[in-house]
Amino acid sequence: MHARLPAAINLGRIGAGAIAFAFVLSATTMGDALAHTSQRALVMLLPTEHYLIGGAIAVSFTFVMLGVIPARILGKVFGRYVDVCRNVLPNPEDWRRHAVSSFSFLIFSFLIYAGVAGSRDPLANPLPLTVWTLGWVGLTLAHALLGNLWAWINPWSGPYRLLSGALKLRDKQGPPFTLPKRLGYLPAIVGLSAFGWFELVDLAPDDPNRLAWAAGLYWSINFAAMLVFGEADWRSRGECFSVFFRFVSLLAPIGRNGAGRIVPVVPGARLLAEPPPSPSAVLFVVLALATVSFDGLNKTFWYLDLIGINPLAFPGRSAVIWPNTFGLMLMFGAMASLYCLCVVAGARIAGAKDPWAGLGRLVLALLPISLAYHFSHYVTVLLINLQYALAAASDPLGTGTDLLGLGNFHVTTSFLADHRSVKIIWNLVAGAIVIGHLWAVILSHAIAIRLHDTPRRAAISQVPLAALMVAYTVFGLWLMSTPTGA
Amino acid sequence: MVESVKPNRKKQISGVSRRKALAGLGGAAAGATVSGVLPGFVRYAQAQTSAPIKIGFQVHRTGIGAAYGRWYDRTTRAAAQLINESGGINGRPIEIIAEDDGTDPKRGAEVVEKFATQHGADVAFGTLFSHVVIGSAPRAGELKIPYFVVSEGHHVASGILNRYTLQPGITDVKSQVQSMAPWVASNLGKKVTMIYPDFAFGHDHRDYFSAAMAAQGGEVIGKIAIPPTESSFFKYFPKIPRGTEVLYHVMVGPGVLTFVKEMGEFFGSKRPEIFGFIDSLEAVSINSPGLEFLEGSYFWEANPRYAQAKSSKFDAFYRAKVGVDETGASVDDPKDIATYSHMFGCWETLHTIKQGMEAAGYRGPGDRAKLIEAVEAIDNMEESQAHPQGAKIFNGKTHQVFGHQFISKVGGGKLNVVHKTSIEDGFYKDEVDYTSQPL
Repeated sequence: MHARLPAAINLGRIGAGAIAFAFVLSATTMGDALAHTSQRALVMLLPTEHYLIGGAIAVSFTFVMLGVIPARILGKVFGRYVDVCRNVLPNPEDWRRHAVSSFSFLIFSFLIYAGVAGSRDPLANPLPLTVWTLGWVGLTLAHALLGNLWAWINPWSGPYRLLSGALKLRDKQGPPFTLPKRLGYLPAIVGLSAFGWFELVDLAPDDPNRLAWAAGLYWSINFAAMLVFGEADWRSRGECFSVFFRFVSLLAPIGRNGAGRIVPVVPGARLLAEPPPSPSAVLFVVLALATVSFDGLNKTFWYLDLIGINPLAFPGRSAVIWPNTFGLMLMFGAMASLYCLCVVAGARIAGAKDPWAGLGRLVLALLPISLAYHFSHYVTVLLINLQYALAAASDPLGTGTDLLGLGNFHVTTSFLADHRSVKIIWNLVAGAIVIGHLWAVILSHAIAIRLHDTPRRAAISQVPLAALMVAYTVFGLWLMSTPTGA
Repeated sequence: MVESVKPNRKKQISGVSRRKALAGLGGAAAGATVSGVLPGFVRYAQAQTSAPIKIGFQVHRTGIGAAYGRWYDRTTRAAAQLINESGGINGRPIEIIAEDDGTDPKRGAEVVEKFATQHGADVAFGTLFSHVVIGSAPRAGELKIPYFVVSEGHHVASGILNRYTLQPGITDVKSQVQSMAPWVASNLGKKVTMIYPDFAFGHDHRDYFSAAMAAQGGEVIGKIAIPPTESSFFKYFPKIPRGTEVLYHVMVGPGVLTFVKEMGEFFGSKRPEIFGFIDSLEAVSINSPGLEFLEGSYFWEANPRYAQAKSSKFDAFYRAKVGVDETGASVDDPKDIATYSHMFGCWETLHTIKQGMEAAGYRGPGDRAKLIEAVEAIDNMEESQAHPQGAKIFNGKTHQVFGHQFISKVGGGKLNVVHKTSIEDGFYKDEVDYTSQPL
């Protein structure tokens, strides 16, 4: 009979190859989403199952090696950055920040106008392209590279400064009301949930007019909340992008030292300088990871079959609103439970006095995974939609102007239909997933060393969480290679 | 039993068809607007509003239809530009208002409603995916906005839609499948095994082709339905009956390349004749890895992807305007393969809308009923710049167009046309008479 694929490849070679591949990757691109049939069709021809095995071995091997490496070495690598300035927000009184933010607000206002008055085509209108592609995808990656840009470019700080000054809201007593401490990050969790639902479940999140109303409403609610509770507090715990981008920016390879100067740091070291996140902050980080994970799972044949949908004849979003709403909630619940279970079980095995103590700090180790998923999942969208964004920038209101002189510009997606480029993209996607998990395992180990009195206990405490990360590596690689149909 | 029938004849007005008379008038007026000659006609043109005719373009920008939507958009824009450069419709330019339907029927219905009530569109146009057409058409009927679909689905001619829904730019799957049978039976073999995905799309192929082969004295000796979630196909190949002369496959989705690859590994060099539908590989390079096995196999094409020695000058003109080279790829990127067997439908439908509006003396939404009647009165469409895929015959009763189909053989990394069907090969008995429904 006919064997499937080159089955003669021996596993030892695969594992070594995959580990080497995981380390050798340099950089570049991407994954799925707008991905049409041919890309997954080509990915299915690749020996992706070997990557799943290799990825699991790479992450497991790294974990074992961490147990062998003396703790002081890790301490040296990360420890010298603990004093890195924790205040990632620039000086709140810095007029330059307010100027940039005000400019950002003007652009935002123009985009809202374009959403209402410009082209009805979501791939020709600059609003959806800015929100979904440049914003949600691009800005997230930019924060992981450059730090907390949102502190400067958010569209609230400038207008808040102007209006709160005019209304005399910023007197010495502070804002009119104090955001209750007991709420923790709940407002941000509500915001991120609403955003995630709109992105993944709503019938037409790309529709320019619908998005203009949604974005305008989001801006207004948050602006009102800042006037009531003050910008600093609301942007720390209420406005979900301020919270999300700040967490992501902790991964950046730059930070500020005690003198406020920008200095290079080991990526992720800034996480160790963070105070332990509260339980609600833990939920926020898990929600961010669950959202991007579900935005992948919900397109797989496996999931569609589970909810009774024929993946070759996807009936459209309107048919799956409730299953996807519950699916998103379930994903969040399952991931939060699994994370807590692994951390607490690990602490108990290691004999920790307070098994719940590590929940806060260790959640920060999930951030590299979240970033890796973000990169892998959205990078093909980024590659395609940046082309559309360029065209939209040239004709922002759909009036036929050609400000950038693009002429007869046509978007191409051929890199998704060519086996060589698909192979490159797959390797980058798979590499990002594996590297994200390796990074997470290393960080969680470095955090554990601070939580436990001996390196041995720290290593033991990490066994369940490391197992979860190995499983999540396999899940991530499967997600990027399994057939999709929605 | 399948039966070939002629579609209805056009309605004549005072000996000369109203369409021809008005088309000439409108065309001349349009030309005059551009060139500035023929003062009398210029006055006629100027007496009309110069506001654009709004074409609501229901496009799959997001969702599963997005890959097709990109080329439908590109073709539509090229056709609109050409029409406008040629003087527009009745001297008025056309404006394309694109709305994304998310490849979703509920959203599709909302989009049609937006065209009618918010954008003041004169017609709605351009939908491909059948479930979106079926979800949107009732709303178009209620709002009495002409809805020109480019879908291939048999839903229009089957009679389940309404008088305001028409498909004048692309043939339907029933006609396509049926017209393959005579050549397959005569040239490849009479004993056929069909491999198809186990849902409506595959079932349509199974039913239409089985009936058509029986009419040719052939027989479908094996019907292998593949579950839609399947990603490996080895276990199905042993089910192919001995004595199979032709393997008819119509797999779709991400498993297509795996299917072909595994089929090649199963058969090796000894295999039956293989016949497929290009839908499986639309927008995919025929030279993709894993497709080597298709060398020497046959495909249905609605419009030959590769320019042929016998291709018409109209096809060359159409390729140049849309920006597609002789291999069916974008002139900007030779790896960007067009959805060539489908997108011509947008081009031809827009030209048919123009023809209908000119015949109806269309001035605005108040003339929508006249437009429907004018399009229903169209019958023969000559091969031309407006119809680069080839001549067609429109059936005004069933609102469905019929045309030539092509069978191409894979050879030397290309698709080479070996047969062009007659239009009549695709005829079947009328299943509805929409003209009996009130406007």
